[in-house]
Amino acid sequence: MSPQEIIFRFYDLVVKGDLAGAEALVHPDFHGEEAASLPYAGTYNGLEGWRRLLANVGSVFTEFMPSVEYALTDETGTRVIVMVGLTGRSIKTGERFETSMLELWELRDGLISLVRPYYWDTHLLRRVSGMEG
Amino acid sequence: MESNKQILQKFIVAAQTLDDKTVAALMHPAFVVHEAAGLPYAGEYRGLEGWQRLFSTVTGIWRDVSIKTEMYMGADDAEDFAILMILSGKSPDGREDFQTRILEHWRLQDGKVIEVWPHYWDTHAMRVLYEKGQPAV
Repeated sequence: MSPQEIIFRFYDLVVKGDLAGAEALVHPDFHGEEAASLPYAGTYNGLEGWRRLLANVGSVFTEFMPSVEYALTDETGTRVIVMVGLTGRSIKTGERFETSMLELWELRDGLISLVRPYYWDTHLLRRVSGMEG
Repeated sequence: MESNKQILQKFIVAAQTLDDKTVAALMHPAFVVHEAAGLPYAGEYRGLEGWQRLFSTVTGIWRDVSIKTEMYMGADDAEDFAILMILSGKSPDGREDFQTRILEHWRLQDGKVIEVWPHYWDTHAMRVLYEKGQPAV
């Protein structure tokens, strides 16, 4: 599979709820980052980090549904940027949201080694999720 | 004939050197920059006037602004590109330094730059920095 196909397959598995299948595409040295203002801020390392990231997002938002619009791959074939439409609902406030993000992915040995999601507006997600300030 | 990627790179260089003549020549008539609602300069900025207004708003809010281009991604003749920028500067009161990543989605049409969506790493953090840096009333 090309880097783009790996990422598309990954999104597809996550959306279908096949988390074991998705995890099979995650590198043991996985590194994920979430912006400091988000309710699930922080860094997530390794397969344990990947599981914790999923659990943390799932504790804040439900019906969290990414839809891939397009992807770009760099010349080295190790980095992919995906434009993603995103809908969901806050568990705490019940408020629904519709937004977008650009996700930067890196691959190593054909597996996902890094993800940095650039949400369109962390301020919006923070407000929707009921965080103050 | 220049590729879309070359046109975009020329636009970015012109923008960073304040070469408005080149920026205008490479700008589609329907050009627009979208800024997220959480930012202090939220909204849509259309055409050359909008581009200049956005630039003066951003440099008016943050002090000592510097923008570096870290990465272009997109095939030579693609219509969609991603650019990773590093925005550095100081808070409005000059007391706090900041550096943030912005992953920008750029779109070209008919060989001109038509639309930009800058995805800041953390719009809320920028808003907090802006509000903290306002003079007390």
